[in-house]
Amino acid sequence: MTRRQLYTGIVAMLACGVIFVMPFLFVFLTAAKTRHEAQALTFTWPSEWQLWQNFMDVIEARNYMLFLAYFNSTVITVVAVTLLVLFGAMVGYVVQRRPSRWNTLIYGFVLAGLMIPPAVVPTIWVLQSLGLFKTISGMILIQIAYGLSFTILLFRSFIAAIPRDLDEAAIVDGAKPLQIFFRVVLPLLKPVTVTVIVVQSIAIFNDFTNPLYYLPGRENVTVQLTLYNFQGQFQTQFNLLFMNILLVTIPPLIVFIFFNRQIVAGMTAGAVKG
Amino acid sequence: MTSVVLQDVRKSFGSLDVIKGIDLTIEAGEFCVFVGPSGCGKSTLLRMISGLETSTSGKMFIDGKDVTAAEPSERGIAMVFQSYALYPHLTVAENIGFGLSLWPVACPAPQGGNRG
Repeated sequence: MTRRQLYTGIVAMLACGVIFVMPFLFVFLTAAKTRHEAQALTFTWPSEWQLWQNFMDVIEARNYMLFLAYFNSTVITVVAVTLLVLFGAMVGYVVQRRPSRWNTLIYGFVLAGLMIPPAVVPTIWVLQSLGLFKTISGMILIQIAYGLSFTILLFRSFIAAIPRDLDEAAIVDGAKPLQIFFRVVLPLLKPVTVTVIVVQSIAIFNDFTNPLYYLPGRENVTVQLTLYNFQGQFQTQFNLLFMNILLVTIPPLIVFIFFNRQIVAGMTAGAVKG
Repeated sequence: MTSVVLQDVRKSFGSLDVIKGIDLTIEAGEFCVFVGPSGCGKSTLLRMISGLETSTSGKMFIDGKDVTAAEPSERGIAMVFQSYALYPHLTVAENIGFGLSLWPVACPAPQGGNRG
C-alpha cells in the first residue's frame, strides 16, 4: 500500500463516519438526555443519562403500543417478503425460460410497474370494495404489488445466468416443471434470494407512507407509524422520539448484519464447463 | 441393450431446414459417433433422440417402441450434456441419485458424499 492509498483510505473512512456514524450518534445521545436537555437539539454529551427511563417511557406509551406495532410490522414484512420471493422467482423463471408472445406483454407490464407511480386514492377505492382496506392482509398485498416488479427484474436477470442445460438434464431425469423449479432452479437462486430478502424486508419494514395511507386505525399501527404518533403526542419530547427511532432502527440493522454474510456469490461457478 | 431406429426424421426451425431427412439404425451395443462442422445439426439430432426437441416429421423407435411423441423421461435414456450439467447445489451422491429421487415409489436415500 502506498502512502497515497493510505491517505485516501483514511479520508474515505472519515467521510463515511461523518455520513453514517454521526447521525446515529446524535440519535443515541439525544435518546439518553432528559426532556429539557433534548429540547435544545444540540450535539452535546448528556449531563444526566436517562437511557433506561426513556426506554421504559417509550415502551409504556399509549398502553404498550410499540409491541403491537412490532407484531404488525413483523407479520407484514415476513409474509410479504416470503410471497415476493416465491412469486418473483416463479414469474422470472417463466418469463426468462419460455419464449412466447405473452412474455413480451408480461415483461412490458413488469417494466410499467417500475416506471408508473402508484395512485393512492384509486387503490383505496379498490381496497374498500374488496373489503381489504384497514386490514393487515390488504397491506401485505399492497407491499407485494409494489415490490414485485423490482423482484421479478432481479430474478429474471439472475436466472438468465443459470445454464439451460441444468433444466434439460432434469427433464431427461423425468422431473415435472414444478420439480425443476423447486429442486433445481430455486436452490441455485440463493444469492439473489438473499439480496431480495435484505432489500425488500428493510424497505417494507421501514415503509412509512404506505401504512399511513392504507392502514389507518389504532389497531393497525406499524413501527414507523409509532414515530408519527409520538411526534403528535409529545411534540416537545424529543428524547422519547429519538429513543423510539433508535428502537425502530435496530431490527433492519440485525437483518442486514445477519444476511449480509449469507450472500455467497458464484454458486453456479463450476456448473458448466467449456 | 437396445436399438435406436430413425425413419426419415426431419426438423426445421421456421423456414430453415436443419435435419433434412435422416434414416439411421443403431444396433444394440453399437458405438455410433456423429461428426460434422458447427451448426450442421449434431446437437439437434441428439436432442431430438432424447426428446428435448420434437421432430417436424418422421418416426423414431427405441427398442422397437415408437417414441416419436414420447416425453424424455418415458424414453428410458440418459444424456450427458456438452457442459456436463451437474447440479452445483447437490453432492456427488445426490447428483447421481437425482433421477431416482423423482420416482413416485419411495426408495432408500443415497448415502454419503461430500459437497463438491
